[in-house]
Amino acid sequence: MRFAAIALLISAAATASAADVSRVELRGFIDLRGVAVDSSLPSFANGGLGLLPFDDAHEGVQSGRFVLDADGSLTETVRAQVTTIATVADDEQNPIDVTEAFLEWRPYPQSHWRWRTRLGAFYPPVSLENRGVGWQSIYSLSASAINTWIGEEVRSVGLEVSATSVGATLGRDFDVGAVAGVYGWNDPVGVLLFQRGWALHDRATPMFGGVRRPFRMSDHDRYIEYGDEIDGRPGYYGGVEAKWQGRHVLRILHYDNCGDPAREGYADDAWRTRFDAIGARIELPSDLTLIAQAMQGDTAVGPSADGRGMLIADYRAWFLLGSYSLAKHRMTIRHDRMHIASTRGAERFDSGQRANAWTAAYSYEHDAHWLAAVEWLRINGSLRQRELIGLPAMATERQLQVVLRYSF
Amino acid sequence: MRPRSALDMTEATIRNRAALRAVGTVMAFAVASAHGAVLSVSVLDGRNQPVADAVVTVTASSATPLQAPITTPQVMDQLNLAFVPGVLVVRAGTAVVFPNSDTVAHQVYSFSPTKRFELGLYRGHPHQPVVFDHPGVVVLGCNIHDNMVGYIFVTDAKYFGKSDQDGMWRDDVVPAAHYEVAVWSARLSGKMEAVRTRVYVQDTPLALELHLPEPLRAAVTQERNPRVRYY
Repeated sequence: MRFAAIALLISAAATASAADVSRVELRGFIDLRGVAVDSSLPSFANGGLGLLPFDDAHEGVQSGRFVLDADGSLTETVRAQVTTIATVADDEQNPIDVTEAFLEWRPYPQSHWRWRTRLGAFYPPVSLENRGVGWQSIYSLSASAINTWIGEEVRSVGLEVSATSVGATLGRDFDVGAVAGVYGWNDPVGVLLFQRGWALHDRATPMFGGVRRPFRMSDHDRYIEYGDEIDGRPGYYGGVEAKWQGRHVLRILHYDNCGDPAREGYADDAWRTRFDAIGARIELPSDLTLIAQAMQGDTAVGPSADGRGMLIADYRAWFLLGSYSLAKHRMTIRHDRMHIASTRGAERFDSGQRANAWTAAYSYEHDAHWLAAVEWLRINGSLRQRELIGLPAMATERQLQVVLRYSF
Repeated sequence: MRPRSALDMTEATIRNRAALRAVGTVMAFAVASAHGAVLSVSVLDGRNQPVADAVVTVTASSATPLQAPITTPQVMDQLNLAFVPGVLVVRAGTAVVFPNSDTVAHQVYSFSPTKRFELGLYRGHPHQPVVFDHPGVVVLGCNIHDNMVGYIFVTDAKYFGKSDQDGMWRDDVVPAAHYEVAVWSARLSGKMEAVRTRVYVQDTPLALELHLPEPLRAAVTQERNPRVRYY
């Protein structure tokens, strides 16, 4: 698999530079979690149609996870970054895996334009939450529905170029930039959203593993794996960003994986998945952060006379987040709205979700190493797919997580 | 209302009404320095609020020989993903050393016409000092951390400094003469041109108020947590 080969190459390059310890920066954390769940549905993580990462059979003390960011310079202007995760949950395929691995070339700026090129496996620039080590949200334990999905399905292997005009050198208070990416090896993107709907958690799909398939035909396809290039057609994204006073960000992105829905793959078929995403983050001087993100798109699969796909679903979601940081304390509240509706082929498979979620999180950063956090999450709404297996579509799921985290 | 610009001010002359403070001063000093006064400059924005970290330079109107550069290197540190100080003012010819007090590596550069340079990726021990020969503004960046911005103001003025938190700068020993006083701030917008005025210093303390034109930009120094990605 070429996908794996590229990842290995980048990992090897990063490891080679790790020999020169002074040039590698390591950051990571290890979690111990306590989880309480109030939901009758098995979690999607265990093959169910619950939208929480834990369920009745998987609560109590969880071993949590280990996340490591390794960032090293290969040459003066080329750096390699690899994010490794280790999870001890029983549904993971690989105990240790990689979520992001890329090379980044930053030539020295010769003018107010700053260029950056990334090559490898990384997330398109959608999330305004996932700014922490290991692409974790810094505001809560669980990411919003939009950014959870980015972590689940939307990472790609490709090339991204961005250019930013830095205002500070021009006596301006704002930076403006544009980004464009081409990528492949993620043709099944959309299948999980179509089958299971939006969810909220912090489990980015690893590169060599997959996510449990909600609806499966046999025991051979328990996992959806994303490393496949099925149709040979690269996808693209393009976007613009403005940053004011280095604090307030506005970001718009158009994404189209250009998949050919008529092409069948070994385990999964090629999906045509497109979306537009917009997001804004405001950091007020009083340590109050406000984030709003919205996304709208469609996904399609299967041969059809017009080539648009046999099954098509439209999806959209948005969230509002407010986070207040005071010394060692951070309090965050977030409201998510999620919607999916089949617009073609509903008689074959009806994808339909109408749900909302409330997240309330508090964290206490004792020092540079120790952090304690608690998060309450409630997802309420309908998922029509549940009716396919004889369950009511409506459900209210609640989850309480307590985390003790050691960072280094 | 347009703020009162320093450019609107004509030459300010203050008569000597105070007794000479330096009565006991040894007269062997140059005659020009026998008379002089405290010169203080208050830097304000358009709403009369003090502007800290503004660069004040005082240049004698008559031709004066070039000032000797300061021989000890000046320091532009990097701490908590910010340049410290955010604005450094040095005399032309001064060497500046760029230590890195962070645990992460930095890569400092400038493409400003005043001084172009690049300091390759480093941590801890600094590179050789950089000598700033020509007057002007040098904008500093870090090629790793996009939010890092710093400024070095290079001047050949005899008297210079930065305004404090109250927007004040003062010099105790300005000899009697005609001077040009210029104020520059990293918060200026557009072409970021200094505000200038001419003054005549005699023997009385001279207090100037200079207003920077609005809109002023946000303050430059923004510390960052290295564990939080800048996007």
